[in-house]
Amino acid sequence: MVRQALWCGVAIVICWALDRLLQAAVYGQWFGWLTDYTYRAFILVPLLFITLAVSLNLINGITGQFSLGHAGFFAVGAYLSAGFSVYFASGWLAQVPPAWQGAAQFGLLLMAALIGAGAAALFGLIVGIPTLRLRGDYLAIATLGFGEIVRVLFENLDVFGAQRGFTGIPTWVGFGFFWYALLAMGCIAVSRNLLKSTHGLAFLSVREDETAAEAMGVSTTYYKVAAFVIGAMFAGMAGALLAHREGSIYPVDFKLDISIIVVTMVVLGGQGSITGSVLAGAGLKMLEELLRLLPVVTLFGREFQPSDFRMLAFALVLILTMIFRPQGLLGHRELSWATLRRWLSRSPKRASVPPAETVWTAEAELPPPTSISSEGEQMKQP
Amino acid sequence: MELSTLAQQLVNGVQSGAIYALIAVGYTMVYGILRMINFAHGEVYMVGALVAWLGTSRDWYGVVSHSSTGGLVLLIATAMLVCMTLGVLIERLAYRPLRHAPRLIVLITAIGVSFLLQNLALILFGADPKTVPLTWRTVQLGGISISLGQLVLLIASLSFMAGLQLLVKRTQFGRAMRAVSEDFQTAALMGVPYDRVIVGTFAIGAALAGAGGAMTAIFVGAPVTPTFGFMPGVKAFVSAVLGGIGNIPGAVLGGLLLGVIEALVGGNPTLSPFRDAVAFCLLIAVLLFRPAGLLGRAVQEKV
Repeated sequence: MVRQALWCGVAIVICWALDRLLQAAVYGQWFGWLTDYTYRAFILVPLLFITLAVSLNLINGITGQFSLGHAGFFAVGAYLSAGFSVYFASGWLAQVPPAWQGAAQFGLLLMAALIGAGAAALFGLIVGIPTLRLRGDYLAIATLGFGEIVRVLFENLDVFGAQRGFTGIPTWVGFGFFWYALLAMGCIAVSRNLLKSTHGLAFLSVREDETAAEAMGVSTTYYKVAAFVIGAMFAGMAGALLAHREGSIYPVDFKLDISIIVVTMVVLGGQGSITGSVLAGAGLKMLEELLRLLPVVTLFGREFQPSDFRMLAFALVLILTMIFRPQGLLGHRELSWATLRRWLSRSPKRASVPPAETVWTAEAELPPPTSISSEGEQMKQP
Repeated sequence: MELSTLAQQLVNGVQSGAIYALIAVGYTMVYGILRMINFAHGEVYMVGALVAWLGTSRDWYGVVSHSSTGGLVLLIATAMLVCMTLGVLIERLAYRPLRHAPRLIVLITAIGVSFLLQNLALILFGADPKTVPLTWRTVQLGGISISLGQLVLLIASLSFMAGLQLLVKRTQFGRAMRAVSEDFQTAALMGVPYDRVIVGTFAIGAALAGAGGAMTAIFVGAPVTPTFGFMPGVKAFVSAVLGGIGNIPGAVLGGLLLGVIEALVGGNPTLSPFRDAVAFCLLIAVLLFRPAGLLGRAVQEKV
């Protein structure tokens, strides 16, 4: 317990220090390439998508429930937390004496994020209880429907700006790195710790074989709903941060495309691998930004921005991954302290062995697979 | 709601239901045989509509004169042929390598194919809505107005479905299809070339969806966009489930039912923004309370 608290403290301090450093670098224009735009595109957005991918991985990869509604939870978190800030919290903040403004803002932002997370979790519960009785394909369609319904709902609610978008949200997140990084780390830590616990084994058992899990006394519905609610909660919190950094949100920000992009990240990284989700989440988003650097092309007599091809690229990545490497880049492997230590300790040893035996030792020293199940059977559906 | 408005909504519902039914039979046939949701089916429908638009929006050396019946028939036939080719290509390139893969992997691939086609259409033709430049005379039938196009569409889709039913029940290919959907291993042992049957199923389903798309664009005048097929595709899947997946008359019944229910909800001004939600609520309700659908038979799940 003390150790965990210590880790949390260290993480907060490091995030805060990095936040200050980055802010100084961006606003002071220390480097030519580190502008407000590149900071947002290469640091903030990838962090946001790491959170989304890792939280979806909990539902999709670890528990094996294929959900296409992640953008819905993202939207619920964003809109409801923004609604709280605009209609209630702003008024409260105005009554706070100037000396306490900073602290009050901090507290209200935390509250808004918790409201976003809670609302998304509640939605996850409401949606999850009926839909998670469905299996595989049906679940995918039902969650897709949920995501679309949520978007249509916000498109038609006038309190949330309807199609004009919800503007005038107080930008309490400010510079952003601190909150975004903290959320991503929190999401990773919760996923990882959950996976190491008894509950984690139950999640995995639902994925591997639902019938067998049920037979062994695992309450599959309970664990499916639990995974759904936890995943939704983090997505909602991510939405809350997005709303309070951008200051305005629009229904189109939460289209089905977002769900598909996050699914692509989880699938590419390896369903069930947290490390994979992190790498694919950050990597795909950064690659997408790099696409923008390419020149404009003219095809069929029309001009195309390179970023017009991004959804095409995501779709191709999705198909090719499934056909050629269905387990994803990392399979079920994780990067952990233990793996790192093994790698570090291995390299000097390898150099010291005589050349004649190198091939043999290298083979013998291959790290044992850390996954719990064999890779070939990873997504068996009964 | 007044009686005439109700009747009008019913007519509109039956018309969109006929389209759902045309798409849904494709879903249901593929599901019956491969136990997979061909997510890209809605996009095949969109391609059919695009072909219709391409055919009518320019002058193809006078070959497709869109004012003549022959020209329109030729256009719809072209759309069917193009979609058939597309369906076979999708099966060949995306689904066949995954024939023995777990279902979830096939599902993810299908979603990928769907998005690929949507975005290809976006790049090739742009996002602006395209309307077929044809208008149809409206006839009044006791307070209900039906356009001639709607009428033709209804008759054509019903005859397509009747033809399909004949094909499945009366021909050798139909028997092979039924055998494969019953048990493909046994069918293979009995000498049914099931790869060929699967390709044939995809081709027929895609052709029907293509016809549906082309007819929607021509006879209803619906604006065609890259996402034209996505929602109808999903709803057609719901129709297939509603009628009992794997069951062709069930898919038709489900499509018509869904169309009518949607039209009735859409007729209510406060509920109309949420007409898309009807299908999903229906899906969840059907799967929870009657998973075999209206006409399907309950199958004991093997463990």
